[in-house]
Amino acid sequence: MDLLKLSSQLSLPLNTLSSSNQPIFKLSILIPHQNKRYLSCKTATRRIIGVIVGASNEDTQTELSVAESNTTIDEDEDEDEDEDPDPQDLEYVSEIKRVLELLKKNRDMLFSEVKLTVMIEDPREVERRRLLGIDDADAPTREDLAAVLEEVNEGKIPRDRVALQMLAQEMTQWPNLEVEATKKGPRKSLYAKATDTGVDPEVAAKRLNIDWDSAAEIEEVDGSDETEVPSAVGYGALYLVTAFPVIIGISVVLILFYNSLQ
Amino acid sequence: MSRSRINGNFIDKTFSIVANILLRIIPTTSGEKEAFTYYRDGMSAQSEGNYAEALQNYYEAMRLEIDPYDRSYILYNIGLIHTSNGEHTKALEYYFRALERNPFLPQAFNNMAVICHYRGEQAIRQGDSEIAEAWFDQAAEYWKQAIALTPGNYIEAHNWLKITRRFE
Repeated sequence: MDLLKLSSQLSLPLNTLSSSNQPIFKLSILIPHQNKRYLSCKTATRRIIGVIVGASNEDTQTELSVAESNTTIDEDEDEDEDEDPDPQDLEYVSEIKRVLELLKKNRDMLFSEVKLTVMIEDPREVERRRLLGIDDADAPTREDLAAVLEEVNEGKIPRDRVALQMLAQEMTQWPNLEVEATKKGPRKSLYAKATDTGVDPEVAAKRLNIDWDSAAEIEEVDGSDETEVPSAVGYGALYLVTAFPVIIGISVVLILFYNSLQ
Repeated sequence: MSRSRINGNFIDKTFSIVANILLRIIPTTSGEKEAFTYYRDGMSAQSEGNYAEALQNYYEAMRLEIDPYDRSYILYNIGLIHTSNGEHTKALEYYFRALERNPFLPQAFNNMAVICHYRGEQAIRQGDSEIAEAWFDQAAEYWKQAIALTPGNYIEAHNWLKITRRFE
């Protein structure tokens, strides 16, 4: 993706915080084996300026609301104390937490990955449904579900009960929760073979002198692929079945021709 | 219906059906196969520009895929879709999570750098030079990672780093 071309094509509002007295949050995430910071943002003491990379507006607002002032948190706590949590809501929350734990334990699926999975949605499709009147305006959006998930992960009882119920149903229906991911060691990755990422991972690892332990090794294709049917087996069988009528027809013609000669 | 059955003529569809039947006969790990099938269908839809269908398939693939390394490719492709849609913030998130699981994605680094560079240029147009510098610095970091993985690629980025004296 060429940088000059991309710059001329994009027209998005800038997603930064201006100097309008908004607090800035420093995001730094460590990559395990490289031990480098992939995200960072600058802060200035006098003029508060910051750049947040890798966070949605909703996340930014969530962080702002959490850390901005104690009074806000106190007010929320007061409101929570007034309303006792519904037992059904508590059950939903426990179900969601159980699923999150299972995903982490069996698949090493981090909360951030689960959240991004819940958030998957095409915004243009949402807009199209809204314009056509197909979608229910009051129904929670995927971002609402992600926000509820965030709150559950933080140990809170979400206020949006409809979204909580929807999220609980979706999470409990997560397939193969009990199946554990087995460490297979050197293996073939179908995804790596099918995806063009611009580099051969094995070559890149050698260039960077990085151990290959952290990523799946991509071996050369063996003669037999366990997960794919050889094309000769699949299509050959069908060609054979298709050929039978042709063979029969030719045989009939030849027999008739032979008989006509006699 | 799987995407492989939708495309093509009647004969291709028939072949695909019989091949799938044979696949079911031959023992495989069904969960992984199903996840990859969704991923493959998602990539097919993505290549045709049908992003809604692609995201649906990727959603199913993410729920089914057990291996974290393989999930990185799904996240990477979702990032590509959001980049194409102009959803830069979301795209950055997905690229970032993909790189957490699989750091050997130079194109993800490049795409993140392009987004950061674009935002830096926007900041310059708005007169925020400090913010712009922060974005450009971040873009430089990502491009360095991409170039480290593929030294022969991203020549323009390489030149930009030299011109702006960000290349160590």
